[in-house]
Amino acid sequence: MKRVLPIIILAVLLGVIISITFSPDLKTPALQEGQLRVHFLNVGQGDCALIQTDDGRNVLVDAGEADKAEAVTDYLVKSGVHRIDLLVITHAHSDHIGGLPVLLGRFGISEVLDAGLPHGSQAYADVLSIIESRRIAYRRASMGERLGVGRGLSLEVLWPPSDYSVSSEDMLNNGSVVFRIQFGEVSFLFTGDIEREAEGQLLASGQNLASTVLKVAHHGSDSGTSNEFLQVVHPAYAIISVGADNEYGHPARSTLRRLGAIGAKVFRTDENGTIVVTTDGRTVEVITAR
Amino acid sequence: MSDRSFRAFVDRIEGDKAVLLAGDREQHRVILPAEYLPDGAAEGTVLTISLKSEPEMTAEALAESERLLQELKDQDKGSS
Repeated sequence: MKRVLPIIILAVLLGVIISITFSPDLKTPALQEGQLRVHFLNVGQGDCALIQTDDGRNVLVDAGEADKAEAVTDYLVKSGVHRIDLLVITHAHSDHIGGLPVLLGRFGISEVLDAGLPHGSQAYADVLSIIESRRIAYRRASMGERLGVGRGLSLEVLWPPSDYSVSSEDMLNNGSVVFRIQFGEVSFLFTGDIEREAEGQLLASGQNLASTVLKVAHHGSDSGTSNEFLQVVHPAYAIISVGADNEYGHPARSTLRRLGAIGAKVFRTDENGTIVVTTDGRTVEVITAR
Repeated sequence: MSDRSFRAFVDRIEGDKAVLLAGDREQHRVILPAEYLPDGAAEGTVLTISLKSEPEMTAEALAESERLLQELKDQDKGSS
């Protein structure tokens, strides 16, 4: 039985009409022409998002931990994914790439966009080996670059710069691939796990960061999502991909307070389950599993 | 019983915690206080974790437990 609890909030916020629906079985209507859909998968403590275009293109952003690979595979299949046109690897930590070796074996991949920063883990070595052995097109992210996917989708790579290098071994988060999608009047900002240092450099770069939907960096950790950054991005929605009762205290209360102060409507995968955002470039519809 | 050691990779530091990937295929996630890491270890460092049985400390811990239990049993006897 399809049980949709139609708690609909209609509002006009920054010119964008918003509707929010809770759907325990997460039934999403087929994508219509002129729509873009972004799924923020509930992968526990980790990140995984799927971007789908109306011409059948799929962009996967990260893949969560290894133990979520089967669940992610099932979700992608259920969402009609047969091939991944672009895989974005924001950075090589296991909560972002752990599931990739399995996914790379299950789906055809046309192109990979990677931060390209060395990390000695077995999972990252496996990912790079598979990309090489299958001759998948590999592109290192370069600030200022624009990648087209299908007929209507364009990713603006905002970070890192092409000459970015890991200056100390704890800088992988700040080297995360950050990109923005503009779709009509609606925009999405994906921030990986960047922290204040990268946020500061992004602000200093003068690139357009203003976005309707913000994928909050680093699972809502206090290490990022500064007031200064939020003032510029000014999101109507903030999505936090985070595991329930995680060991790290994510998301930080201070981050939630800052998001609240800026007026962003916050969705969290630990509380809302998988979050699906559909837009026609003017209106935004959010469906959550709970 | 012989001591054991295994490989662990410091995948990341999350605040005051170190996230290690342990085992031949890094299939086990081990989270430790970051202060437990040896000097110079950071994100990206490969470690060897050694496990060693300590029979003396084991006996001491067991003796302490037995002592506490005996105290409670004695109190129980006294109250009945």
